[in-house]
Amino acid sequence: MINSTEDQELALIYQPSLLSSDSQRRYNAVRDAVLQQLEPRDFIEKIRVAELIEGEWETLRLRNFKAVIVTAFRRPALQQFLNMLLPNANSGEIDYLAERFFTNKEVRRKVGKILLEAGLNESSIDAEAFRLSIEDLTKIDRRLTELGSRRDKILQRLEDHRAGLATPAHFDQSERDDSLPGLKNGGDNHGKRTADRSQP
Amino acid sequence: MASERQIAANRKNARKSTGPKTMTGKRRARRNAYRYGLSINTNLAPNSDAVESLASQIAASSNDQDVLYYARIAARAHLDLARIRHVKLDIIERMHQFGSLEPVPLFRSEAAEVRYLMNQPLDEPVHWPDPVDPLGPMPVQGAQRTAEAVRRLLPELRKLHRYEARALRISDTALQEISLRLRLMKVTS
Repeated sequence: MINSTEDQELALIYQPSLLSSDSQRRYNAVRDAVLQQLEPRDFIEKIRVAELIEGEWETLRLRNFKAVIVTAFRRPALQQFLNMLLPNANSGEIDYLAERFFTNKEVRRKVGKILLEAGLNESSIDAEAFRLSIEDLTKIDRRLTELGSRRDKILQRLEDHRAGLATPAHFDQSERDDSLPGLKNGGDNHGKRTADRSQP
Repeated sequence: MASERQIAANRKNARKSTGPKTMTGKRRARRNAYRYGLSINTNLAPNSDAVESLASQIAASSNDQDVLYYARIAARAHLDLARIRHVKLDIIERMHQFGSLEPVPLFRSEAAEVRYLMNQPLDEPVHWPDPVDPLGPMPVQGAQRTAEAVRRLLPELRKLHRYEARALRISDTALQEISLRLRLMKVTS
């Protein structure tokens, strides 16, 4: 649980990236659970944990979106089936049947019969919806994999930090220069760093 | 290990992939970094108050110049991350609101617009049609609408994630250096 005396400090690092449809209460629950579990001891750990919370929240959100996206493709999937099964029907009729299938019992029974005659059922609609959304799901899965790797790395870093096992890192010089543009002018690395230190 | 022949072939092929060749291509590529403005340094001066404030907390009251140096790098990277995430939320919310990041066109092509105007009566004001949304209508409900907004933005988000990964890498490396130095100082003292 967050201590009120730390609010100002925490606000600096635990800035929630919430969408208007996200639940602040649920986010707080996730954040508090992670903080309670990991109990960051110093500011470095707090920053690492803040990143972990950010990643976990995005993971939860994307997992939820995956289910929503597949569900959203059920109607186009049914439309595709009906287009194949009812070649003489116009697009208005197909749209009507596909839309009402999910809300109207009568239409559901009628469309179900048409599907059954072709050896199809609701699972076929789900499978087709999955097929139609596979490209988007793949992109989301790739992001979920990235977030998973990031979480593992953060946990490893926390462990190393606590055990005093941090190893020297090697900066890519271009990244270092981009990080601190004031360092771009100067001689070798040492000179650049010395130049920076002299700044207030 | 690659053979001499393979190395020569790689070099030859690499020469074919050296970026845009035409002036139009070069002009376009020149502005790549400005699409979101996330790879350029903005108003966050190296020692701005926000950076210094965060850096002093990261450095844990240490006066060691190396620690302070890396603390500033970590602080800047952390603030960059906040900026990138703000942009990300902003474009998702915009897509959620409007269903598109660009204005939705009224016609599919210029030819379609000309045909439409040719068929309008000359003695009446032009009655413009409803905009054509190539992506179809957005769902009305909250969660479905946000999911659809994110789905439509997946390619854009991928680009933003690259900026995010870069800032994270910088922050991670700097924090590691600080962690090591603080540990060494503790051991030596």
